[in-house]
Amino acid sequence: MAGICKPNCVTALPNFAAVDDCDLLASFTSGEIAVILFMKCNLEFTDIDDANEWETKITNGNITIPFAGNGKIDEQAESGEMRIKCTTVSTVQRKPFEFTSPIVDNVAQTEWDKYNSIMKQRLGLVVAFLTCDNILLISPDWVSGEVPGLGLSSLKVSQIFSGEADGKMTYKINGEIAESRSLKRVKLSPETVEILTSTNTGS
Amino acid sequence: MFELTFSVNGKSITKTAKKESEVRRLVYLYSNGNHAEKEAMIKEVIASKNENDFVNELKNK
Repeated sequence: MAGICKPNCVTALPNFAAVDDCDLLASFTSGEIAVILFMKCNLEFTDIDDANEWETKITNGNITIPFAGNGKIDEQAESGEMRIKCTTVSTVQRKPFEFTSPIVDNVAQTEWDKYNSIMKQRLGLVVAFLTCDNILLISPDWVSGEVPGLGLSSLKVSQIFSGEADGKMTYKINGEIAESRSLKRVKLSPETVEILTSTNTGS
Repeated sequence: MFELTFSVNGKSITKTAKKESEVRRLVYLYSNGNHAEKEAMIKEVIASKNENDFVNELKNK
């Protein structure tokens, strides 16, 4: 049975802008995560596209950017269902993500310790992602002075030895974001992208 | 050229946009509120620019 109609719940529906029908490819964006970032859960940003602000926060040890790799964010899983006014309401909504990097520190062999350090501090971390189109994915609620990172409901780092012939060891980071809404997409300036992609600080 | 100043939570950011599409992007990124409020803000910014352009045009005549 359908839920009870509540027209007052609708204030104004969005008007999606027109796109160029002759070049639909120009309206697509990358579905790949190139970089994963962890930051302190109370770390606020004044300007999310200010390269200096990023650099300072990275230098101060408030942000860690593991080695680049490839990742994805999946469809959210909903649970804790309740029936209210003939409508099913999910009380728990989580968005799973996965990130894999085959890059290691083959000079000093230190990356394992850095991944362990992330795990040890995971209760104080939030996450953000950078796509292959230089789009930063952050909390949909972010405005200046707020925390841009996404809350984690779980986080796991695995060191994987597949055992395949000529296979490479990989680090796999997976977890769930405590968010069901679409993430805020921020097109970063080249200066900010340079900071995020050239600095692999570890933690 | 559009100059936009966003003041949220006591923090202030000033950004410039060359095109209307850039105004839209900045308003959606830096301002608070629902999409209807953001759209109203965008219209206001563009209208004020058009008004200023009109005044400047009159001054130049």
